[in-house]
Amino acid sequence: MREDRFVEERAVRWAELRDLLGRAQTRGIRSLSGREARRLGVLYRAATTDLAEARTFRFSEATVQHVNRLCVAAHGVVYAGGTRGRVMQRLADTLAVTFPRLVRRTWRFHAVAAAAVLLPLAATWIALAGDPDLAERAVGGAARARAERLAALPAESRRYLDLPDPWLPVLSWGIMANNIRVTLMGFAFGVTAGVGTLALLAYQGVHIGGLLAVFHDAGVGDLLWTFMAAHGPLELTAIFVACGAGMRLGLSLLIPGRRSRAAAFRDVGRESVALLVGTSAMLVAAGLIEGFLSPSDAPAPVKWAVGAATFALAVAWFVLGGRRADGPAADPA
Amino acid sequence: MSEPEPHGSLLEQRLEIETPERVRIAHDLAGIGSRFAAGAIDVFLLTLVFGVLFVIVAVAYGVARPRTEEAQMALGIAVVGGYFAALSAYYIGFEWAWSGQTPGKRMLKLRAVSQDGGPAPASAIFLRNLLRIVDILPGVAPYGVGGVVMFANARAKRVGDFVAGTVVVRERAEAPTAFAPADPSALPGDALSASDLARVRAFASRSRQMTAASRRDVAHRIAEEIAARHGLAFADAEEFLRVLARGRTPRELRDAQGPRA
Repeated sequence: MREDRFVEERAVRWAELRDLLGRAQTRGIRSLSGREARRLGVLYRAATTDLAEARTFRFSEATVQHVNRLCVAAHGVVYAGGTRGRVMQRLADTLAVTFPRLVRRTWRFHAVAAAAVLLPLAATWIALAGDPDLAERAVGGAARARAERLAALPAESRRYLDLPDPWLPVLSWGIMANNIRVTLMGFAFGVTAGVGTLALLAYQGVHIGGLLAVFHDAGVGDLLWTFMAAHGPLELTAIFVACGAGMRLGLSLLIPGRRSRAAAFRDVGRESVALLVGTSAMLVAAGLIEGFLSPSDAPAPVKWAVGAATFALAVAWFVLGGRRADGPAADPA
Repeated sequence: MSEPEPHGSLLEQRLEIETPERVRIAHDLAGIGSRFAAGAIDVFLLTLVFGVLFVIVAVAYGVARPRTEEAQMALGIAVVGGYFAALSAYYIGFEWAWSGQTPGKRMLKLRAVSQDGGPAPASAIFLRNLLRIVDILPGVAPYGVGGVVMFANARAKRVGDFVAGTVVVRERAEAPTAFAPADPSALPGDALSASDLARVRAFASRSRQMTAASRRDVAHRIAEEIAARHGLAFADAEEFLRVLARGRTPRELRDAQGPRA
């Protein structure tokens, strides 16, 4: 076959495809009518055949390139639908099966993340207790001023957070979004071979430990404990899980095993999405508690009970979730 | 799964994949320049959105008048949270709804796709946009980390692309400049016909394997034909063909050498 004849015969069809593609690319596939969308599919398949033909006859690079570009552009539009469909079902599967299984399988990393918070927390508390000057330099003067102001109030009007009711939804939403942000950052910083994640975790530990030391020194430590009791366990657990996933990501870069580094990075990254979805759900629950129950006047035992119950539920979820579907046939993705 | 190796020139990297129709197609990978341009458009649009949000928050602040320190703190936290939520909704929402495109990418006809060439799954879109917080570090030089990483690999991937296993490809469908028009007689002298171009290119690629004598002979025959068709003169047939193979049109040649004596 002669190349000029080949080009001449197909030029009209290619122009039609180019026109449909131009509209689909700039205004979206929905701007095409049903008939046009079907026509796009037909023209795309014809163009792939043209491409194979142009290669077989070794036509000039210009012709092959042109048909190739058409095919690439059309391929992007024709096979664009893969990311959607049954989102709720997939989300439910992720939370019920994939997430708890993955937490079980990668528990060591989450344990390390927990240690990375709790050890600095304890160390800071011990180091700063009874040393207000050091505490002020470590966590700033604002915390101490606040603790002393609270200590000066009569016991029955002391509240860690004194917020008028209309502001509670605002606070709750803000806390939720911020906790999710910080937690996702903890994961993302895992790409620094885990160093960034560890730093972020240690910082959190130092911050909480410093607050505890300052409030205990001022004699109002119970106020802080009661405030944290309801939401803290669930929130910290979520942070441990997400940051553990971040460190696993960092380790995959350092020790990729038999895969290439890029492949290991990608595999672990994609797998981690389930962990992030799960922890985000946990943080939404924790944010609701932190925004509404924690600042409320509910008695301390209620807050402690809620904290213990949510923690127990989370652990049960990790330990028992997805067990029934366990089996060789189950798809881990 | 083994990764297809990028090949082609340094400036125009390609990603070859096989479509479900069992035809190999080669994506042009988007370069750093076009990706930054698309990113700049997105940042501009986001700035507009945040401008509107800022007005809403300012009005809400005026109406609600938070007096206590705690209420102001609650508002502050909510604003930071809202900023993060809007940012995530923009990038993840658009790339999810438009299958790998933000408004900036759509304007420049770029698309984030899975590196096997198929559409990027929702998890990959989530990840590549989540990792933006690493790529934009340090904040003073936006996308400092991302930029360095993009320079350091052949496919111009940023950190988010590595974790998500995605690449950004170009989807221009228009004809390349060297493409011969379907009807060569429509533009006499402007471009070589497809078959002439094919002959010129074939000569250029094979000339090294020919003996000097046959090379001179073949070059002269082809050059004579083309020159006659377009009203051109040439001194050295081989040089003439090499210039044509590099993409000069006969009209450019004519302008360069003046009218035929």
